[in-house]
Amino acid sequence: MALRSANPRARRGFSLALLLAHGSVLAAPYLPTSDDAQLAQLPRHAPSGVMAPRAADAELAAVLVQAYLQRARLDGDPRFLGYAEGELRPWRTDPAPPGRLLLLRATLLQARHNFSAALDDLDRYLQDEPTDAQALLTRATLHRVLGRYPEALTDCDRLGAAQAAFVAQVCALGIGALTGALHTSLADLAEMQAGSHRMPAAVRGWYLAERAAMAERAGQDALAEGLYRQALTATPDDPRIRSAAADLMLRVGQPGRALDLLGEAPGADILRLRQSLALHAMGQPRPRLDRLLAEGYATARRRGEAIHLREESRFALHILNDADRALQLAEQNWASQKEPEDLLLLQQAALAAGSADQLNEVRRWLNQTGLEDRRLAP
Amino acid sequence: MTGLARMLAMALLLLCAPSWAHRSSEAFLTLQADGRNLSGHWEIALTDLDVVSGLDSNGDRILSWGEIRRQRHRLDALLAESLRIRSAAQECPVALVDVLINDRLDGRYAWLELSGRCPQMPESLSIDYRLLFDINPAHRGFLVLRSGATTHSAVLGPDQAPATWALDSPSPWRQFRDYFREGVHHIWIGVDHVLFLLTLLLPCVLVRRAGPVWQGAPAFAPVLRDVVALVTAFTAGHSITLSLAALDVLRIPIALAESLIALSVAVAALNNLWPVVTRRRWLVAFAFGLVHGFGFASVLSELGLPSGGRLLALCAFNLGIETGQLAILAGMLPLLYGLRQFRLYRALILPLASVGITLLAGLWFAQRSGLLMA
Repeated sequence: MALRSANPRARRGFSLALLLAHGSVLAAPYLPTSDDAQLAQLPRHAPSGVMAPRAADAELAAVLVQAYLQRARLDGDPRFLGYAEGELRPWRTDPAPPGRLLLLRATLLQARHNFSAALDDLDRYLQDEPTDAQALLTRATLHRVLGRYPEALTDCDRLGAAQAAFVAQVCALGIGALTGALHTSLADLAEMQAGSHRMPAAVRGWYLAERAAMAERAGQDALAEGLYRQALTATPDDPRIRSAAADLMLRVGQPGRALDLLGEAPGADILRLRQSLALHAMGQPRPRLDRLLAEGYATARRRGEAIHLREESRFALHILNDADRALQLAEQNWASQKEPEDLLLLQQAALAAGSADQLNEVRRWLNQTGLEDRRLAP
Repeated sequence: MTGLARMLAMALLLLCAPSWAHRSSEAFLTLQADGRNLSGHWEIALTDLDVVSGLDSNGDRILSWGEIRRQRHRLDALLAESLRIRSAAQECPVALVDVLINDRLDGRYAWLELSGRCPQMPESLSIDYRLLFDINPAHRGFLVLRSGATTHSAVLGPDQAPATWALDSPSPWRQFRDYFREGVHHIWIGVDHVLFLLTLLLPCVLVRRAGPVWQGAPAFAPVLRDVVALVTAFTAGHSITLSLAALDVLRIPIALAESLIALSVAVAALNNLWPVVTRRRWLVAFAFGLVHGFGFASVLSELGLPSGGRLLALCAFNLGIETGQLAILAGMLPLLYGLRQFRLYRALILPLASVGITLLAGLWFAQRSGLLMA
């Protein structure tokens, strides 16, 4: 991680102002010299061209929304969330969109961190389709992100009743590991290794990444690294698994290996942040990359989005060395989501900014839930 | 089991635990309002431009400069569909002047250079921004609107009505300058006024010997005196009616004023061919000046007078007209004075020009009075 300067306040503001002062424009606008000049690589699968207006067709919309949401996650390109939203627009305020559109709307709302509206939609959908595995898993994850572990566990168990035994078990062990049973959950997960080979790659990748995260919290970094690598072999395109693996490398002081994992020009901003953190840790910061990130956070803020708080807080803490701002963002983030990574960030920011209140909050959460996480400072 | 597992795999893909990438779709619209003129640029990511306009004509998912350049008409259409600017109830048409490319940190953007003009001096602008919203409602337009010393900025989304921003009420000096410019502009594009002046001017460099025979004026001083008298009378005439009409004291229908202006040009040209009024031509200039004033007034009422400083704007507009007139005279008079000794001018140019002007003005009159009947 970047070293903090002796007097963080002296550098605070200055860095951010400096990053944003250049503006986002690199030079003056220009006229390309040749018709053959290749200006942009366009993403595949994006809607293209002037589409004839068509009647709202729920079945077609469901297919497209699902495809766009999948693209958004794999490419880390939020434009695809927008395209999904566009397809859902006819049912935007409909209390009961037909069929799976309700579930898809919930998924989109969740992606936008509109958790309560997402839960409303999921509850309504599950009233009619109580054994829909996708909806149950989505709601379980949502409850887990919000720190509502009993509710999450109930949904995991209902998944088992829906005959998705392997997924249900990973789901339940994931909750167990957050509520005082880390080591037994990790051991139980390990026993499922053989069964995981019968699963599709996406399920296997998820299983391995869950195990890796538990191993990290149990202090078994070497095991965690191996598991992350296996997970990336199963699902090399998943930016979230890749960023979790890079975080591990950064934490154990191996920024060079984090860079190797990330590649030269990662597309998703969550990966770019890790790239910047690694470069700063190696003393080779790239101002242009930092400006891109700073501008991205500033833009999201102006749009009124709050989905980036965790990332922005880390950026403030380690790139801008602005502990006060990092703490403020970490607090806002903690108010909306409660994953172990959010707690870790809150503690780091609170330590850097010297906030006893927030350190108490960390302790309170640990006592309340029984969470064990060796990454946390004692 | 595999079917269920595949479906669950989809659920896992759709699971969006926190931490999305941040960059959504944004475009940057920068506008500058200066009097009636609008200028600025609109930066749209090439990715977004393809989504909304389908520019990748060969479908290779690589956008080349040629594909953009050759499909500029699509950008014109895009501009017309996605951006509406109004001042009060009137549309300020905006056109695409130029297309450039701009590199921003998050990728390449098209830089659409814009230029527009409001029918009247705007005191506020309302902007109806519709880019991409049908396809990507998460798109946002980042607007910066500058006028005078004021800068407005806003984030434009799909769920808001067109927003209206009050423009900087300009300093008296800027207001004066804006209306002065409009006056000059109007005299330069107002063919009928210029033609009327020219018609009066043609015979000024000549004197009449006995009978209907023209002869070059012997000296410049009397010519100049003559011209100054004519122009002063014309100016006095149109200033009076312009002021009366602009201040809502006296108005006549626009079609009537336009017809009378056409008639005035025809009459002045006929008077060159068969002189009826030879002395005190300034009286004719004054009378017709009254008519032309109503024409200027209709232009000024389209522009609108600012709620504060009506008199100042009126004076500025009028002075602009005078300045425009004087500039035309300053150019024409020496030329005509130089030509006056040539028989060709007296025998051919003067009569032919007068006949041409008569015919043209007659045509105008017919058209405009036809409008009057309708």
